Amino acid sequence: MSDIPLVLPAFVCIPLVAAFLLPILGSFGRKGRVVATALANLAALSLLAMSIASTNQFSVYNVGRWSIPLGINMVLDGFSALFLITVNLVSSAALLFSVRYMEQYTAKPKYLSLFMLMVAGMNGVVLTGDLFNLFVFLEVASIASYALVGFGCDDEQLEASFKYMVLGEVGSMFILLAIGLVYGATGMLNMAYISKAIQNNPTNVVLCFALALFIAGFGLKAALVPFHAWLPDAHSSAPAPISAMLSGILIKVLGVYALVRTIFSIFGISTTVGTLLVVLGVVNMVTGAFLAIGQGDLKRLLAYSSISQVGYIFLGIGLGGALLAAGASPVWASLAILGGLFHLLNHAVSKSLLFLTSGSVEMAAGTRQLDQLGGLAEKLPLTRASCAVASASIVGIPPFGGFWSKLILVIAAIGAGVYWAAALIVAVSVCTLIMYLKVHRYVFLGELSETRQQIKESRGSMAVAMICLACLCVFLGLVFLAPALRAELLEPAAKVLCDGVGYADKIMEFSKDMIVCAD
Amino acid sequence: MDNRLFITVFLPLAVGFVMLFLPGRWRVLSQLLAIVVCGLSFVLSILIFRVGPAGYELYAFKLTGVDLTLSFAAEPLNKFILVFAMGFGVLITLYSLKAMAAAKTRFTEYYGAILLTIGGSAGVLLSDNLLLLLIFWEIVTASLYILITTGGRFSNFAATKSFAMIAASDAALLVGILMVWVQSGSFTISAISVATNTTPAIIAFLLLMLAAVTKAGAMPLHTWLPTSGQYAPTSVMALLPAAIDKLLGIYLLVLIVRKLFVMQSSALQVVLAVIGAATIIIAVMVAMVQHNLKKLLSYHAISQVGYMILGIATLTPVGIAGGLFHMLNNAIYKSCLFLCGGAVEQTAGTAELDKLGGLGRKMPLTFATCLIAALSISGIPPFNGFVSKWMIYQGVIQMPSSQAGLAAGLWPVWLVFAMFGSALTLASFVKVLHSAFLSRLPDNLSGAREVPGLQTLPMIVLAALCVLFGIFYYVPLDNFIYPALGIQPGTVAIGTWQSGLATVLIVAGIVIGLLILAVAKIASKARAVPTWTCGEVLPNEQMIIPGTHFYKTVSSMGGLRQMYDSQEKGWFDLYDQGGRLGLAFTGFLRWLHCGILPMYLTWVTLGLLIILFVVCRIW
Repeated sequence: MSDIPLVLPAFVCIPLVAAFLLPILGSFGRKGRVVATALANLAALSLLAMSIASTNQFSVYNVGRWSIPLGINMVLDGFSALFLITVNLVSSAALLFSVRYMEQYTAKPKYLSLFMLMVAGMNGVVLTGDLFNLFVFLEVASIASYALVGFGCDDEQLEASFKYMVLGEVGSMFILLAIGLVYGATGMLNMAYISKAIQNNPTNVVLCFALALFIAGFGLKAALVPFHAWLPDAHSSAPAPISAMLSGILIKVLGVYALVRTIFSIFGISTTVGTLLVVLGVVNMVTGAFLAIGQGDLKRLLAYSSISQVGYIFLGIGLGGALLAAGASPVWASLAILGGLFHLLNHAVSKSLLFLTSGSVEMAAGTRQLDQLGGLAEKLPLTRASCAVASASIVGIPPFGGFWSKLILVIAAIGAGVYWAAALIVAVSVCTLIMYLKVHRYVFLGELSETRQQIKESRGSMAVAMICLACLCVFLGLVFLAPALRAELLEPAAKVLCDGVGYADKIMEFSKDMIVCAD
Repeated sequence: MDNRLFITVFLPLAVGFVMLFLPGRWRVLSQLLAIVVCGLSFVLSILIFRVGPAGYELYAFKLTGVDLTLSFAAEPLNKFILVFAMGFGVLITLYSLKAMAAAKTRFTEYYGAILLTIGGSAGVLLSDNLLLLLIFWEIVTASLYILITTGGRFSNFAATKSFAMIAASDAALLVGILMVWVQSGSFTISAISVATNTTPAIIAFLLLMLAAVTKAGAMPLHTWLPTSGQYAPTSVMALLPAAIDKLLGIYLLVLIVRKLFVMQSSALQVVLAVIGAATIIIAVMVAMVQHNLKKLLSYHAISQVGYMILGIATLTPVGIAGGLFHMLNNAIYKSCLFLCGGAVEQTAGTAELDKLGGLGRKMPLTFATCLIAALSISGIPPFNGFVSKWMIYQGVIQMPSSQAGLAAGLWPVWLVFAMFGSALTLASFVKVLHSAFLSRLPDNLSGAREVPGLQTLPMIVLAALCVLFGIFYYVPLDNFIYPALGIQPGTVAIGTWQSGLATVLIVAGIVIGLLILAVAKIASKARAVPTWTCGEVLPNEQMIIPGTHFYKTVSSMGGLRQMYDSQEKGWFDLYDQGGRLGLAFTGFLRWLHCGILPMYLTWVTLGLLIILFVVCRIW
């Protein structure tokens, strides 16, 4: 256990070093590019292995041995471990997919570099224990993603990237302003210390204002509904593996993780904020679902579906928070949070797989307009099978993972007596089903056009990446069904949120021990 | 040996799931696997029926606050339905071996989905836990989707519609199950008993009922059935909507009415009876004017469900027994009719009644089985459909003597609807038999031949069952139905009908009819000649009197005509109407997303303001 603290900075360092090393390697001609690609995949896989090894542990690392609150610390608890695994899982798969997929673009080393930068930023956001440091990592990941969205350099992509950048930076400014306000009110930047300070002075108006700014800023990153307008453009214009990263994990890390961490661990959840999250979640679910049904562009449809699914996550976590704050039924609160987090994991895997399959379809057929596709089932059996598995999971057809997470959400909602939420969850699931039936009907079933008789199924790394994620979609149900896996991954994460501001005490206790050890 | 229940459910599921992902051209392997696994399941189901075991605990599973013991149980009610469901699996697989041979690809998908259906329905029937039941229930729904998509280029729409509509009812099932769980504290079927005297209990009842009747194909969410009937392969229609969906839906309905809930609300009984009666009469009215054989059969598949629901709604022992027996009988003759329809379509290349005719001589076996099944569905003695309909009538008649309330008071209404529906059924099958088998053979069908033995065998088996269950009706009643409902054989009065007398009368009637025909023929010395058209040579097709005009008077009657027209346009189709509403809402949302950046920035500002207001005012 003693070697774990040393590993924490590696989650940021490895991708960061890779990000600067890969373009240099890539400049040595074709062989250099091959080595760079291999190294990038190796880095992603090693990060994945490390994140799996770090589950169900608690550790704190003080950067440069500066003790908090002076220095910056990195914190690994159950909640961050869940996100670490999700991030590195999806990024390994997306990177593997890119090996072949990105051959159609030039400047692959630059792509790899930006990709690694984004991973570094996301790992940093998840691990950091310092509010300003969180902002820095968030900006690293965001800026890398702005560049990646416009990577194709077409008109449409540049426009999407520009919109994304403007709106994204507005969100970032909200967050920066909020951090400034918090710093002014408490004199601290370390999350644990801020949390303590807020507990001692709970009715400060400045802090209220800061909280609202945080919700708006992180909500923008998470594509909560009035702030979601950038997402469909950005997620559909990016290269497929990047769409998978953006929809699969970026909105969840920069949005869901940061917001939930801020609300639960720093400010402390209240009934009002919990209810607000539920309402935002419901609006997201409904709006996203209806917009997705009306889409004629495969990737835009998937993007709107992401908005809808993020709503489920917020509904679960918000419901749990509201119940916790009311103190009425802690059992259903923890179940609702568990459901929300599990849905996050399921959605990350299935949505990234769906975007990868959309890349495969686009590469084979040359378009992603639904009305121009059709009959691809025979030509792309593997893509179709993976797409079917991922859709089944996201819709919630048993025995795939998505079914179990939605089931927990419904059980928690009904157990807590919130019948309307349960009814909405299942109703939106039916809408989700309709949109994915539409995808299958227009893309894979029907008549194959004459011009597409020669198209080929994607092979090599693209196929491997899709198969891996499809298998995961099938087996994720086990995370819930097998008690051992659930206790390793989901329950520690839910427990962190249920403990709420107990986060501060835990870190301070741990840091005190470390100081004693160092002496 | 205790894991028979487990194998019956999970062997077909596992094999079927793997087969979905195998290359579509592995034809022999998929056929072999399907027939072996189906046969094995059938044998196992018979063993389960005869010797047990009674239960199998799958997985004890604890979540904070939720205690789930997933277990299977073989009860008298589900055991016999299981045997029949597995039996249908075997018969339809046999039929498919030849019927699906024309398809070039997607063999593994088709047979994989059949196995998923078999395993899923075994799971639904054997589950002793409502959540487990839900999981298998949805597996059956999903496999229906896969099966319909194998029907060729136009089937996608039908598959999408079916899946969406049934999934909506599945969603209702999920919420209903959880509401039952909140009120009873358990998911175990045998431990639940909720009184229907509170609002949540009534809502839960209605939700579960919606799922059951939708699966069975009754109104109001019935429109998936005719749409898929038109485009899906007939073997699929014979397996799922005709047989297994009926078994599962009615099983769930019996479960709801008899086990999960204690019926204390006359209003709920009226709702059930209205659904039953309306389904009978409206669907058969629509069926009468259909011109497509498969679509016509689909509407009858809807109409017949009404009888089962009405029988169960009577809440009298004989009514429920009749409903269950009708479920069994309907599965048998409706499956047979679909198989016959499939044989006709395969031979003639079309299922449009206008283009058929005179196939009776070319396909005698198909004609005979179709005739038997058609007489059964119309409730003609001595076939099985008559017995169960008779029991349902008796159940309705007995209502006022055993219960008070609105539903019992309205018994003449239910009786009239049921009987009138039966007459209309006969009328529409006269049309089918005439147009497909009796009238003149079109020239292009002169080369028509009987379908191969592998296809006729299932049809013959089913038609034989129709006859056997009609004449020896007490065998299935005493062995399957009465034990399932806990009724002592012999304690139920099913009226004064005696099959022996009726059979004699019917046979006598037929003989007299034949005699009259023979006498008339001899007496008039009639001779058959081609139609004289002033020397002009007309193609045979133009000289056929098609049965499609039989009921033109009905469909052109004032008042009814408008109803038929709007029905044809989909005004009564909740799927179409819901789709229109949803698209209008989507259009509004898309209008908001204009793509202009300053507009989006305005939204952000507004959103921030709202959040500020909410958070700062109250927190």
